[in-house]
Amino acid sequence: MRPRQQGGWLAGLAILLVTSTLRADAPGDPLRFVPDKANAIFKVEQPGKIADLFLNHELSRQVRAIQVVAELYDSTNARRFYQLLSYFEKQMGMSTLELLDKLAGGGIAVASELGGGAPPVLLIVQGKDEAVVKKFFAIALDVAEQELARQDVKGGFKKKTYRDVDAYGFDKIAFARVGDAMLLATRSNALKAAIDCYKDGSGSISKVKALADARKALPKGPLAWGWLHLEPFHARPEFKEGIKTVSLQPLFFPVWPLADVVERSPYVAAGIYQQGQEFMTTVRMGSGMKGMSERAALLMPSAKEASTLPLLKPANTLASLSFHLDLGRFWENRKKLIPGKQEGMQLDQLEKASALFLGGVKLSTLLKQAGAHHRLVAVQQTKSVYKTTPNQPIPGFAWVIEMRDPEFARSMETILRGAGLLASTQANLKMVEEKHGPHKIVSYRFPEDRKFGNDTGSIRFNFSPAFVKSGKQMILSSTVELARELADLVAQEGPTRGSTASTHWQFYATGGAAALRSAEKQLRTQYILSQALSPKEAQDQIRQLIALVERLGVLTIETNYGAGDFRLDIRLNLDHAREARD
Amino acid sequence: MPDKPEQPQIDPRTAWERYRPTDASPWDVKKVGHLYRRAAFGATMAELEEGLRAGPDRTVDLLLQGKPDRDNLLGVTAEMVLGIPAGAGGGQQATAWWLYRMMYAPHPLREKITLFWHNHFATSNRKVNNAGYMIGQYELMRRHAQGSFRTMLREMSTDPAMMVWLDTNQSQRNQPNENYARELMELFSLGINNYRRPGQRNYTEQDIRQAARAFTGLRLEGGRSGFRANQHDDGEKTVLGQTGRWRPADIVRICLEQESAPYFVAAKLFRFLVSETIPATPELLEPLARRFRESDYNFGEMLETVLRSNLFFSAQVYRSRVKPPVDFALEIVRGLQGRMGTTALVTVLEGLGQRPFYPPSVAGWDAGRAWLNGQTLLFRHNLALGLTSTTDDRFGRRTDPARLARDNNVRSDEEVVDFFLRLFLQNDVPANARNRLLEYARRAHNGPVPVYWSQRDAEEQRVRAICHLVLTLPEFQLS
Repeated sequence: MRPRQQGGWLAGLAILLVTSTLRADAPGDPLRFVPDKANAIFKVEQPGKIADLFLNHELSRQVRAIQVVAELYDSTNARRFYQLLSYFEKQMGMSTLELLDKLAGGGIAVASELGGGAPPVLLIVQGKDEAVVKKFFAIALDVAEQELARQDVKGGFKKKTYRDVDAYGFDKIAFARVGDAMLLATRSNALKAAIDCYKDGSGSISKVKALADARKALPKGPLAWGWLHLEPFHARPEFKEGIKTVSLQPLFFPVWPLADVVERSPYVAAGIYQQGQEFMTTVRMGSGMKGMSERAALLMPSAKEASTLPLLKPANTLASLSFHLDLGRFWENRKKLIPGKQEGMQLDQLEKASALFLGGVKLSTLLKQAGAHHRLVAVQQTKSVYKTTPNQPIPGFAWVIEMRDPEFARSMETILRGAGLLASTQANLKMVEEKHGPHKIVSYRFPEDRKFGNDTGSIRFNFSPAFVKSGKQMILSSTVELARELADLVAQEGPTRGSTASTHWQFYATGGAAALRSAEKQLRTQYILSQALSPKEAQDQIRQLIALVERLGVLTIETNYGAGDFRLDIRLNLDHAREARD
Repeated sequence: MPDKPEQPQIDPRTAWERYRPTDASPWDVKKVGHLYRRAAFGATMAELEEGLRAGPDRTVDLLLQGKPDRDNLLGVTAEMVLGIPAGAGGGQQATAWWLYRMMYAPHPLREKITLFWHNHFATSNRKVNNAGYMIGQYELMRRHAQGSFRTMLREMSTDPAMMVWLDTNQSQRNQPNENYARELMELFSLGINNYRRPGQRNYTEQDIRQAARAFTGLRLEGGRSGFRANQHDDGEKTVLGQTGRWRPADIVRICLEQESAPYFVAAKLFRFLVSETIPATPELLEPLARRFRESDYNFGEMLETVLRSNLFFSAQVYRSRVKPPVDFALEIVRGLQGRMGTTALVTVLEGLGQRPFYPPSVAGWDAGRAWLNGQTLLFRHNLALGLTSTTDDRFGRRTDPARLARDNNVRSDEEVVDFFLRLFLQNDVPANARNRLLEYARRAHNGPVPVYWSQRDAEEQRVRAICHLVLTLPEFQLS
C-alpha cells in the first residue's frame, strides 16, 4: 500500500461517492405536488438555516432579551410549544434542528390559486428521510387527536384513501403523507389535485415558463422566495380597472411607471437572502423601460441623465431619500399626463391664479426653473436655537431641490419671504438673516416669551423654518441647524455623480437610536403603562432597546427600471452599525 | 339581577347612623367584600382577612385615609404624565394612565370617588382632544374628591377641559354660549326639578341665559384659563332671583345657595355608592343633605357618613348594583394580585362600555342594567378568560390564578373552588353553584390530557378554568 500516492484518487472517489449519494438522496422538489393552475407560491428553501438564524443570530438573541419579547417566549403557549418539541425530540430520538432537517430539509412550499373567493391553500413540507417522516406523521396525528379530545371536539379525524394515499380530514382541512413529504390543504379537492399531480408526474407548476423566468431573474441561493403569476390576472376586468384607476389618478403619478410594468410583466417574484451581516429582499418583474407607455416614460429620466443624486447624510440622520422627478417636463407634458378636460382646466386656472399666492411668480415658471433631482432628509436634532425644550421632540427635515435655472432660487426666495411675512403677522414669527460661510440663510423663529394658541407641549420649538441656496441646490429646512449643516454638505459635494436607481432611500439605525434617546420620557411612560415596570426597570428596557436599534445598521431601498426588468432591493446591513460605532 | 326576598322598610332616622355589628347583622367577610367593591376596586385575599379582623370602623378608616405611598406611586405616575402627548394623540395613554392609578395607587377610594366626579362632570376627550387638559381635570377632581364641593365646582368653571367641552372658551359678550350655564344648573348642581317641592323647577331658561353672560370672556391661553375683560359682559344679570354684575364664581355661589343643591349631590352619591334601585326620597336624603349644607359642602364628610352607615351595610343595598366595567376588570386583576400594564385594558373597557375620559354624553354613563346586554356579557366572559387563562397575549401570565392558588397553598379541588369563591364572592353563592364547580373539577380530573403535558400543567389548567368559571357566575356581575 502506498497510501500517500493513493490518497489523491481515494479522496476523489470519496467525494464522488458522497456527491452521488447526495444526488441519489436529494429530496424531491415540493413543487412537484403543485398543479400548474396555482398562481401564487411561497417557498422556504432553507428552513434549517432560517431556524439557525432565528435561534443563534446575535440580533435575534438581543431581540429576545427585550422584556416584552422575553415574556412572549415565557408565555404559557410558548412553554407548551417547547414541551411539544421536547416530546417529539424524545419520541424521535433526535434534536429539533436534526428533526427539522429530516422533516423539512427539502423545503417548505405554500401554493394557492388567488383571484376568486376564498382561495385554496396547499402546504407541502418536503422531508429527507421517509422513515423519519412516517414516524413523525403518526405521532403528530396522535397528538392532534388528543388535543381535539381535550377540547371536546366530537368525531376526531376522518380517514379516507385516495390513490393509495391515506388522507385525513377535519372540518375543511385535509392532510396526508406521501412518501417523504407531508401535505396539508384547506380543501380536500386541493389535496387530491396535489396527489394527482404527483402520481401522474405531469401538470406540475415547475413547467410553467413564467415561474422558470422568475427563478432565473432572482439571484441564486435564496433562503425563501415567492412568486405571483400575473398573466392570468392581466385579462381580468377588475385587474385592468385597478391599473386604470391608478394610472389616471393624478395623485398617484409617482407610481404610474410601476403600474405600467405590473400591467405588462408576466410575474412578480421576491427572494430573501442573507450573506454575512447583510439581509436582502429583492422584488423582480419581467418588464421594464422597453415597451413602457409614452405617458409613463415621461416620468422617468432620459437615458443620458443620472436618475438620482447621492444621498445626503448629516449627523444623526434618520432617513435620506433621493429621487427623480422632472417638474418642468411634467408641466410641459401636462396635457398628455393628465388628459382629463376638467383636470386640465383646473391646472390652467391654477396657473392663472398662481402669481397671486406665489408672490408674483407663476407656477409654470417655478416648475420649469426647478430641476429633476430631489433629496429629502430627516434628522434627529441635538441642537436648537431655542432655550425651551419641546415636550415632544419632532425630527428636523429638509427638502433639497436641484435648480435647472438659477432664477429658481430668486423665485423661491420671493415666495418664501412672502409666506414668512404672512406667518409673522399671524404667529409673531421673527425673521433672522445670517451669514454661514459663503451662504446666506434666512430663518424664522417663534418668540419664547409669548404664549401660542393651545400649544401646551411647546411643540412649536421643534421648528425654525429656514431656506438657503448652496451651489445649484436650494435647501428648504424645518430648522436652521439642519439648513446650516446641509448647506455645508452640499457645498462639499462638488460635481455630483448620480446613480441609475430611480429612487434611493436609506434609514439609519444610529439616527433612530438618537430619536429614541430624545423620546425617553415618552418611552418610559409607555413601558410602565404597558408592562407595569418600575421606573428603573423601564429605564433598563429603554437602554436595551436603544442598544438593539443602534445595531440595526442601515436599511437601503432602491428601485431600478432596466430595459427589460424592474428591481426593488431592500437591504439591511448590520455591519454599517458596527462601522459607525467603531 | 336575582329576585331578592322582601326587605324591611328603610327608616330615614336610622339609615345614616353608624353601623354597629349585631347578631342579626354581624361584621363578616361578605361585608368586607361589599365595602371593598363599593369604596375601592375589589379586595385581595389579604385585605379581606385584614378587614375581617379589623372591624368596620378601622377598615373604613383605612379606605378613607389610604395606605402610605411606600413605592412613591403618585410621584412616579405624576412624572409619567410628561411622557404622554399633551395634544390630540395622548387619549389612549391618558386612559391607561388613570387605570394604572386606579389599579395600583395606595388610595383606591380617592380614585373611585374621582371616577364618580368624572361621571358627574362627564367631560369627554372625544371633543376636548387634549390629553393634557383631561389629566388636568382629573387632578382637579382628585384634589377635591374628598374635600369641598364648593371649591371644586368653582374651579371646574375655569378648567381648560371643561372650557373646551362646554364651549365657554368661545363665549363672548355679544354672543354668550349657554352650554356651561345650562349644565351647571341641570347636571352639576341643581337638577331640573326641585327635590323638596314636586312639580317645581329649579331654574328657568331666563336664568340660564343670564348666567351664561357671567361666563363670557373666559379664554384658554397657553393651556391655562385666562380672562379677557373686553369679551366679558360686565352688565347686571339676574340669576335665580339675585341681581348683580356677576362673574363665574358668583353663579356657582348662587347655585349652591339653592335649596335643591345639597339634595342633588347627595342623591348622586346615593346612586353611586348605595343603590340605583332604592328611591332616593327627600326624606331619606334629608339628614345627608342638611349636614352637607351645614358643612359648607364638605363632600368628604358626607362620604364618610354614607360609608359608615347602617344603610350602606344593609341587606337592601348588598349586591344591588350592576358592577361597572372598570370595577369588573380591576377587581379581577387586584384579586389575582396581578402585576400588569393597563394599556391593553383600554380597548377592552371601550368594548365593555366604559372608557375613562370618554363618557358617552354630558349626562355620563347610563350605568345600572345598561351595563349588561348579550354582547357586553360575552365580552365580560372573554375578558375573564383572557385574565385567567394565561394564554392571552395581551395579559400573558401576569394574572395567573394557578400561581395565586399555589402561593396560598391551595391544592385540592374543594380548596381551589372555595378559595376563589371566597376571594371574589365571599362564598356567598347558592349551594348548587359550588356543586357545579366541584363537578367540573371532578370531570376535568378524568378528562383527556395531551401526552406532552406534565401533571402540573393539567392541574394548573384546572385551577385556571375553575377561577374563570367563578368569574362568570351571575353574582360576580353584581356589586
